[in-house]
Amino acid sequence: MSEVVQSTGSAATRSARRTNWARGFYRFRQNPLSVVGLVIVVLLLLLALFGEYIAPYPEHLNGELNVANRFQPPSAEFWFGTNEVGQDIFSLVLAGARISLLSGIAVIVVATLIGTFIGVIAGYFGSWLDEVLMRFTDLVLTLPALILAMAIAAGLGPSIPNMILALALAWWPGFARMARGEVLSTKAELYVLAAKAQGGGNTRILTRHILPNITSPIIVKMSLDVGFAILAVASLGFIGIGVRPPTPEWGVMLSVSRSNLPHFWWTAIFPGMAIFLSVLSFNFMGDGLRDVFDPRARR
Amino acid sequence: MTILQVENLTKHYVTSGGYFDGRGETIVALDDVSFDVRRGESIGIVGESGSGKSTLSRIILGLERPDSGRIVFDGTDLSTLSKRELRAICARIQVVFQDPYASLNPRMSVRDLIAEPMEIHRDILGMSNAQITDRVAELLTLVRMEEDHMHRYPHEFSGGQRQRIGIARALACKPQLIVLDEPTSALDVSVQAQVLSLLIGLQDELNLTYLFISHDLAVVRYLCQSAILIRKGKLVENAPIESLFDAPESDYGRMLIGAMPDIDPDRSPFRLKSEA
Ligand SMILES: Nc1ncnc2c1ncn2[C@@H]1O[C@H](COP(=O)(O)OP(=O)(O)OP(=O)(O)O)[C@@H](O)[C@H]1O
Ligand SMILES: [Mg+2]
Repeated sequence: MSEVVQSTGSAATRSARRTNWARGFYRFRQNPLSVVGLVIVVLLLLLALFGEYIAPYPEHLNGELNVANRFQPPSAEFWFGTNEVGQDIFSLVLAGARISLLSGIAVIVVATLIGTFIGVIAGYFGSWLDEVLMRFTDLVLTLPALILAMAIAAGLGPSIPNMILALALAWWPGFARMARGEVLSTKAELYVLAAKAQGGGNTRILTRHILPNITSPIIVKMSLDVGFAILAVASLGFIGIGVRPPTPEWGVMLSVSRSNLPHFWWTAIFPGMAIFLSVLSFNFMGDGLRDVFDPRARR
Repeated sequence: MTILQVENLTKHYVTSGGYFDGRGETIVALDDVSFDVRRGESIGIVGESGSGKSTLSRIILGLERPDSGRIVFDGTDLSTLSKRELRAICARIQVVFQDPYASLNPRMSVRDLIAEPMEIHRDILGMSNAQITDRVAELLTLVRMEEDHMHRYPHEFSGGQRQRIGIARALACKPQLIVLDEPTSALDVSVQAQVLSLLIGLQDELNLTYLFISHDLAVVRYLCQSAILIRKGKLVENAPIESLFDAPESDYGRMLIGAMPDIDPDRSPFRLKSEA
């Protein structure tokens, strides 16, 4: 008998899930900007994975120079023009998507893990643990994130993993504060009391009741923050602490092009546009996700 | 035979007070409350809002410790038990909350919701996942829902159906005592009557004891054999239901009964009682 229940059940579950997804997607579509954001994010992610394979001048990505062609303005041959050593900027921008996007995402994933862990522990267990963890969080929060990241990155030495770690260590307090707040309101829910009344322990209550009910706002904040993390990665590259030239990274490219302005504007404008576009698209997508998860917050 | 003895229960809350004076106020939520509950009986606990009814239920459920006094369940004083033993008792005392919307985790399927107490007490019950699923199906039938409802989520159900899910969850571990904290006050009157008659049927079938918290005397009269009245944390009357309604001893009882709306017996959803 249980077999019958199982088999009819999985179909019913699937159809219930599908209607939930359909409903969610409908709300997402309500705001055209969210859809634009999502499309650009998907394109950027594809670029991050495959950008170097579709670059028209892959040899430039390995540092090959072509001094004869330096500072060519945008043309059919070089869509975004060439830089001071004659490399194709279009190829560099495509390849730069990988480092910028993936490090931006990595920063937020690490920051979310640290922040959520600390915030959930503080909010759930309360009392002195909450006090200690939140004072520490506030302390980190009062330091300007970029300056803190610069100090950490300078201390650890320049490398991409160190830069990611440095930014994540500066970034987690926002997630900790938010997770704590969400836990405080979720743990007051009647269904948590019901689980306690049945004799449920802390592990069960945290994993079955609290965490599943706080993931939506965390995912929304993650997608909003990825854009800013990409900006921060570029900023560190720009001031020369994160990624080093000649690695193609948007911030580094912007930084190098400073001395080419204003005459050779294309060396700055295209990496700049790439940063702008990714920050904006992640924000639009985040807004759309918020509409899906929390329709009440819609303006 | 007595299943639950509540002896001299007292509970104070200290509010955190204002920002500037810092003086917390002390609220007496329960003041020296004692009563007994007989096995298989329904006892109503009636009082206005803030009188301490929910506090009493939380202490009986072991969610809070009293400041003084004790709870004796089936011969055991709960305050003497270790955490482990207290957890085991939890399986025998269950609760259905007033609000069927807030008391079910929206992210869990009906199967997982009803299975939860069985999973928590797996060490005592020793049930496999398949056995738990079978039992969930059985419980859904018991509360007059369909078996394949178990794969749906709470938001797909009406208030009355959700309350049945809550009742099925409370019944999962075959408890002896069920605390019903205003289980029907959030429902439409006609749905209320259905849930109440379900509760009465289950009580006969499973030999349950109900602790029925309400501020609706009409519902208590319909369901319970006796009732206690609580006012500002103090027990003011403890009487069999008939004598309470015929000749209330306390002023508070007279006031509450006087305030009851007259019910046209032919139109009342609770008329089942007179037929039975
Ligand atoms: N955790 C708490 N901290 C401080 N005061 C509390 C707490 N819980 C309850 N109280 C107070 O204790 C008193 C009794 O509350 P309780 O919830 O038991 O009332 P109730 O009879 O269930 O009311 P209702 O009918 O509205 O549910 C109230 O004055 C309430 O404000
Ligand atoms: Mg209450």
